[in-house]
Amino acid sequence: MELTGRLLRWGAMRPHLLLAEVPGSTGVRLAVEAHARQSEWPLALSPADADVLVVCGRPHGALADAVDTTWRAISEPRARLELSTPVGLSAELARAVAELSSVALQRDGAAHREPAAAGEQAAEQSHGDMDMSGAHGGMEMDRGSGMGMSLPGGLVMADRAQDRDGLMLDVLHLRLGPVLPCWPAGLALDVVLQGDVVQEAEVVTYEVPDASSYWLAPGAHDGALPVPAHLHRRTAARRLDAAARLLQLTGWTAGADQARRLRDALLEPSSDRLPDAAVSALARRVRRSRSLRWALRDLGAVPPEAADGLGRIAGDAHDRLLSWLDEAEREVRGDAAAVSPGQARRDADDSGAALRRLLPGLVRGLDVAGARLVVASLDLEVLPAPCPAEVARG
Amino acid sequence: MVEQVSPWAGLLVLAGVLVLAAVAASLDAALVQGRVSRRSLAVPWQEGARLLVQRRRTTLADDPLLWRFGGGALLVVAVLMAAVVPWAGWTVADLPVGVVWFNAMDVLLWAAVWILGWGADSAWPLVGGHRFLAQAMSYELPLMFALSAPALAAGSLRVADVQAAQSGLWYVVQMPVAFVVYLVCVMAFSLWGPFAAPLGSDIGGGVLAESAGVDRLLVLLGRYALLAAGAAFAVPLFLGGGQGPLLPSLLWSLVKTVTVIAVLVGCRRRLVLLRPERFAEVGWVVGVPLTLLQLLVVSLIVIGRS
Repeated sequence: MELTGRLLRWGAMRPHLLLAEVPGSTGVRLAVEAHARQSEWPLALSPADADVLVVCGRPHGALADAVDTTWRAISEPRARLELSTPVGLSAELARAVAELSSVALQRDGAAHREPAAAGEQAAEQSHGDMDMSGAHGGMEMDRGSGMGMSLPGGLVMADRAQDRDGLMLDVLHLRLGPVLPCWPAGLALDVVLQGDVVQEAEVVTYEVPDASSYWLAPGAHDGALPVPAHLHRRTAARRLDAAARLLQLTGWTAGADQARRLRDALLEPSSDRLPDAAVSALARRVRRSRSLRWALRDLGAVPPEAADGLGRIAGDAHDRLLSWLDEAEREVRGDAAAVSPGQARRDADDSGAALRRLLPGLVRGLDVAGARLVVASLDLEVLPAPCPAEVARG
Repeated sequence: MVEQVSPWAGLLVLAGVLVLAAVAASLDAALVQGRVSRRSLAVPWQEGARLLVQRRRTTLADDPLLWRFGGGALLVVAVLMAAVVPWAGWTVADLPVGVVWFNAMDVLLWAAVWILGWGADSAWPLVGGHRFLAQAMSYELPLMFALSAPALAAGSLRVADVQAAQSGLWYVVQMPVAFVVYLVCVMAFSLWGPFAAPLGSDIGGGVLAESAGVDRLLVLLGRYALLAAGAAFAVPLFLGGGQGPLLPSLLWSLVKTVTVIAVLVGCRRRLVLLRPERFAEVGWVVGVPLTLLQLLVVSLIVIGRS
């Protein structure tokens, strides 16, 4: 129909992208985000808001199931992309936009959708892989309640338990992640909520066997050589990326956009001059902002004795944000202390596992917003543990 | 004096609210992109087109009546709010208690947003609905007191009387605290800027997490419409209505309304999201005493004048 086609084409000029990142494919995600920022396409908040699902990397196993569940939750018009490398990105995205604009393709896709019943059975069996999409599962209620009353859709009544004030409240089991905006790749947090307060949390990781950290460039394993210049830029870009996520979650979108712009400028291989003035300006604004300090203080406070060896995560979320921006400033100016790439990799591996052990304790008792801010403030990366031969060599 | 027109002019109010909502949306898009260009001004229309052709969603065990009702109620409340605003000597509803009517309409939003969150039968909208209630409890009392101040000074609850009583000095000068608190509360009941926690990105869009298509469009449009209605109501209440030199009063009303909309829209990206429990402190410990003091000052002025 002509009107539908026209509206479809008009709407497809501004597709909302939902990014699903596989651990180890950070480079692809950064390239997609940079492209979206330049084309002024927004990033979707949830599957209901999304038009294009961009899978960065090749997911396997449980992660692939989670991505498929998310795909089922997106409503037409929709398109799906799997990118394992940033090469040819714009052509792929243009193809997705063309797919979005085609009435025939979308009608066809809608007619041949798998029925809701199959999706819901999959959700019941896998119980865990419903990330935040609710299209076929609604609220995940506790299976073991045994109250015997069955509600529409085969759900059962929620179990009740005492919360921290002694009131009997409904217990809700929810999985945060793995496909969630501003969330570490390959991580999921199974939380038990009462109201919106987290009572218990458990970390679930989706590890990819041969993934390596994008931020520590591949091939730079030798401890003896001095740190290559581009590693300074990568470290600064990493800290700016983490800061952008945290600032996005606090609601200061202008600051988050600025941090992302600087991150993209640093990762641009052709630019020679580093934007040190702009990075310092951002760091100054964040340091002076009292509302940011008010929003982030006392969140996820890691006591110094638990943070031994991981000096940079001591303190609360605000301290960590400031330390990232300080580090980015130093790296861009060239003042940073030289750390060998091998040592940096070992630090990253140790701190990742230790942080994941600390995380449940840090989010207990916080509401969902606080838990999200704490996870973003820890800048987790889900990577496979190093094999002993490499540890001995480095 | 203000004349009442036939209620069919309510359709004109709907049209007016939609136009102002479109203006607000365009300003917002222009600010996000940092420039006013054809591309940035086309953004609200592209988003609208996209949502019109998007397929609607449902969840497994939702409550369709309540869920859809909650979504549509935002726009309806905005139109009802705007019905008492006088334009160039005409108004659709010349209620003797116009100021209280406005307050009653914004209290309806408590129900609308929470029902929108509850009806979806999903965790994220429910959390968003509860966040809105926590926020609403903090801004409602300061809003009530801020609305009482102009009514107290004018000695009447009729919006036309409040507008006429400002022929000497606008109330924004006489009671600036009430004006600022009122603007902050307009942002709060429109889920705008620092008060967008019920729609937060950390909970997947909050009350909109499961809505797609026309349902989503109605809520987003309702937000802009509430901003527009709140801004339109500020004009007769604090900014003297259509008074001003040279231009006809209708044009002045429009200019003032669009200015207030621009101020409200501009606040969005500069301010950090307020977490509802932290805002409760501010609302009760700072907002309520401040507005009560303002009322005291206004009462003393009224007594001194008579």
